[in-house]
Amino acid sequence: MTFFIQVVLNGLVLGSMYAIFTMGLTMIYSILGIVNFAIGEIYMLGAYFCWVMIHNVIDNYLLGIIFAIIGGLIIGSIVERLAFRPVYGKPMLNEFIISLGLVMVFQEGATFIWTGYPKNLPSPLLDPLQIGNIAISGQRFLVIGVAIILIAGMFLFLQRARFGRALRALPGNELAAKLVGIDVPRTTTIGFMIGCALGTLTGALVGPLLLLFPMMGASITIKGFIIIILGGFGSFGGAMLAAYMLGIVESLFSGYAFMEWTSAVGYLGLVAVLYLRPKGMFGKD
Amino acid sequence: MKIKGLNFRRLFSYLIGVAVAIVLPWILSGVTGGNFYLHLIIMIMIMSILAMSFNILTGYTGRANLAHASFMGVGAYTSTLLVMEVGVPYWVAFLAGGIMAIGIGLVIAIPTLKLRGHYFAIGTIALAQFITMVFINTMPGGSDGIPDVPNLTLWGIDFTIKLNYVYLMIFWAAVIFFITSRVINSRLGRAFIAIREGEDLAMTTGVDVTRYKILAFMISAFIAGLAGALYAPYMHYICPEDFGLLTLMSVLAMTAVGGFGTLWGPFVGVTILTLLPEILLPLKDYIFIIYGLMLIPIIIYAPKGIMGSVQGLLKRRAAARRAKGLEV
Repeated sequence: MTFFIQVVLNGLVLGSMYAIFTMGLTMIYSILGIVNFAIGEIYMLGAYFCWVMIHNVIDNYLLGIIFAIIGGLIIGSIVERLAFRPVYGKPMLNEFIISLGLVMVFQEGATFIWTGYPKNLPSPLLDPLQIGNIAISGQRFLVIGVAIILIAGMFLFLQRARFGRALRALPGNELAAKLVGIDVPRTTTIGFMIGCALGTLTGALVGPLLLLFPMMGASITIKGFIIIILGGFGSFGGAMLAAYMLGIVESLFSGYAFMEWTSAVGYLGLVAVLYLRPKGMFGKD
Repeated sequence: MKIKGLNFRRLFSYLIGVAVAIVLPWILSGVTGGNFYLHLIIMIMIMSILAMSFNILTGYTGRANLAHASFMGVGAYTSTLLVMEVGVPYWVAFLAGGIMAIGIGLVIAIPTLKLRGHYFAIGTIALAQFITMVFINTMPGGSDGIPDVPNLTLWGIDFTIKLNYVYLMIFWAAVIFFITSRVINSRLGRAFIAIREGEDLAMTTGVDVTRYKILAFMISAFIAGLAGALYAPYMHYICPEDFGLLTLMSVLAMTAVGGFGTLWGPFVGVTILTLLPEILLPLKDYIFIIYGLMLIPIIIYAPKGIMGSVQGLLKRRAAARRAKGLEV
């Protein structure tokens, strides 16, 4: 029983990590419709930004996180203006190839600056807490807590805030958005920046639980896209639900079945869901 | 000058092409350090075959298949294991590699048949990741791969001599190019293009969309499997990573730079992006940064790739010439 609870808890942590990451991707991919495959590299950069702050400036994890978020906002605004804006409205593959160019630049740039050696990101919350028979570190609680707060905040933001509603008005009907007085380019840029900042935030939050290396973003990118398609393109709630489902199922699978096949759950699950429901579990339109 | 539909200019250009293909590698083999140039030619030919097959499905049929590198892997693993474990001759192994790739192609094509756009791309990338996992977890050697793939023996020719391998690869690339151009200029190719331009419209004009989508998948997978089967005995080593996301990304970038949906695009893109790192050798440390930074403006300013832009230019000039003729 202890083992089961431990496995489910791990699943919750994994699901929270997926949820925060996917939230950023929801902004960029499913709300703004930009196929940005470099989001995993932005997540990687977030972890490294946090490391730079702690290692080279002040040894303060909170400042590291803030630095990572600011870095994400800046990178987001540059990338959106220079790389993606010129190809809006062109075939999806063009955006995809642009983001591949960015993937190479970020990965190789990180290897160049920080070398390929794995790095540890220190955090004051890493000591395990003992609750009954279950051990869980404060860092994991932090990930779960931040995820819950962000999900609630994002729901309110998208449903209530003027800007969130403007964002949701964008996909598919730019003209209509313009007609009701939405500044489309500005909204797109800010949405993209928020998405990138959520990516770097994920990196800074889960960095202490993992090892930092320049290729760490590759697998989470694909998982993020899978989660969005699983939850239904354009559905924020669906994506969040899918993130936790994938996290918990993966954790159960690696705890009770075959460790080395864990990622297959997401890959095959996606294809099975798409075969039965071509628009995802909660897809609209 | 035309006699019985035979175009002498075209024949002449074919002859020049054949002459260059025969003489250039021979000259290069005599130059000091020439083996490296021969290696580059072989890599260009292998990647061209892969890019041409990718182009059939993604460029002409408009289905962004991101599992394409896996077909190459299936071909490479099938033929290598057949040669090493069963001991079949290489030409049987090549054929088997291609056919196995068709099989896996069908396994991927059928569940993703109804998906469009993003859904298809993400679905195929998930399946590609799964196939990489299968290679790692079930194939001999695991993620370390299979070393010591035996030398290629075919028709009694010694393929340990690099020059012979170059000619073999040029021959195969030319055959695949010929087949591709034949397919694309036929009824079949027009059906593929019709699907790209609009599935619903194609369906209403009587194109059996399902059938042609699967057919495009099969042709594309077979050629990619063949590319893999040709790759393994040259490298003498294969591992799952050779056929993963990185290879897919390079073939995608190469085809895009050359031009999707053009006959020469894959070859042009592969040649440019293979030779570029060698030309920029002094900057080797930053090579991928430059590579990535170059890709972005190319896609922004020439979204149809180099050959696509050239074609557009030629068309416009021809139109201008015709307009001039009308004025006079």
